Amino acid sequence: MKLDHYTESQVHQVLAEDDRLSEPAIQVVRLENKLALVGEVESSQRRDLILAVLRERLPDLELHCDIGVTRVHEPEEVEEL
Amino acid sequence: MTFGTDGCVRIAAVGDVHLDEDVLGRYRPALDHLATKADVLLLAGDLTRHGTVREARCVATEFGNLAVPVVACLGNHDYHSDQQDEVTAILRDAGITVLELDSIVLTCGDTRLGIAGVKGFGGGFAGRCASEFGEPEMKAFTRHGRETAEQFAKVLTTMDCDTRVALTHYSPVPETLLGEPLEIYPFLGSYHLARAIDAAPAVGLAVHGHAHAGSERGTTPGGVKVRNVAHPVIKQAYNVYQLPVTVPA
Repeated sequence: MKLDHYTESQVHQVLAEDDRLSEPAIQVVRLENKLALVGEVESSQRRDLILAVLRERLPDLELHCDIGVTRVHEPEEVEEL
Repeated sequence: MTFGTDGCVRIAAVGDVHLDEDVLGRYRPALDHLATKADVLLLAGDLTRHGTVREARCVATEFGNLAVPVVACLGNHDYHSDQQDEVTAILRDAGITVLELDSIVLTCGDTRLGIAGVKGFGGGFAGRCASEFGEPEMKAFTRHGRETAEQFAKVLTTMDCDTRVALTHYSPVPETLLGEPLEIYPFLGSYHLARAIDAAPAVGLAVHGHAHAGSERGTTPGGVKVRNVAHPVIKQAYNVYQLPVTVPA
C-alpha cells in the first residue's frame, strides 16, 4: 500500500472517528515503509482493538505498534508548589 | 467538608482516565490509600471514552465513595454521545462533584479552598490563535472559547475563599502542550483560560488534562503554576501537589 500524507490522514481519521476506537491522541508517524502508531492507552484490549480495526479498514497497510498501556501505580512523591 | 491540614493542602489530580468496563478496577488499589496522601482528588475531564451512560457508571464505580472529596470537570470525550447531562447526574449520584462553570469551597482547617471548574475549549494561544473573523463557523468556534473563559473568570473570582484552584480539561498555556504537534495547539487549549486564571486573586494552582503527549509543568503569564495531569503524561494513578496555605490574619 502506498504510504503518503493521505494514508497517514486516513489512519488518523480511523483512530479518532471509528466509534470502536475514539483514540485521537494516538500519533501516527511515517517510517520508511510503514506507519508507526505511538502513544498510550488504558488497557491492552484497546491496543489490540486499534490494530484489529486498522487491519480491517486498511488491510494492505503495514503497521508498527509502539502503543503502551499507562501505568496506574500509587505516587511515591509529592510536588511542593 | 472539612479535612485536616498542617499549613498546606495536598491536592491529588489525574485526567483522561477514559473509563470503560475493560479498565474497571485498575485504579482502585491506588485509590484505596488516597486519604493518606491527599485531601482532595481532582479529575480533569475525559473520564469516559465516548461519554455514554455505561461508561459513566464505570467512573462512578471507580472514583465514587472515596475517603476524600472528589471534584471533576468533564472533557470533550464526555460530550461525544450528547449525554453529558446523564453522565453528570450519574457521577453526582456517586458523590462526585462535577463542575461546569461552577465552584465548590472546601474547608481546610481555618482555610477555605475554592475549586472552580470548566471544561474549557480550544482557540489557541496569543499571537497564534483563532479570530472571530470570516465565516460564521469560524466566529462561533472562536467566540465559544472566549465566552466560556470569560464566564469562568467570574466563577473563579467570585468564590468566597482564601486560596483558589482552577480545574479545566483544555489547557490555559502552551508550555504544558510541549510534545504535541504544534499544528493542533488551537484544539488543545486557549489563552483566554489563562487570562481568566490570572484575573482572579490567590490562584494557587491550575490543573488540566487533554494533551496526552504534552508536558506536566507550565506557568500562566501572571505566574500561576499549571499542571497537565493527563494520565499518559503523569504515568501513574494520580499526582499529588502540596499547596501552601496562607491563613488570613
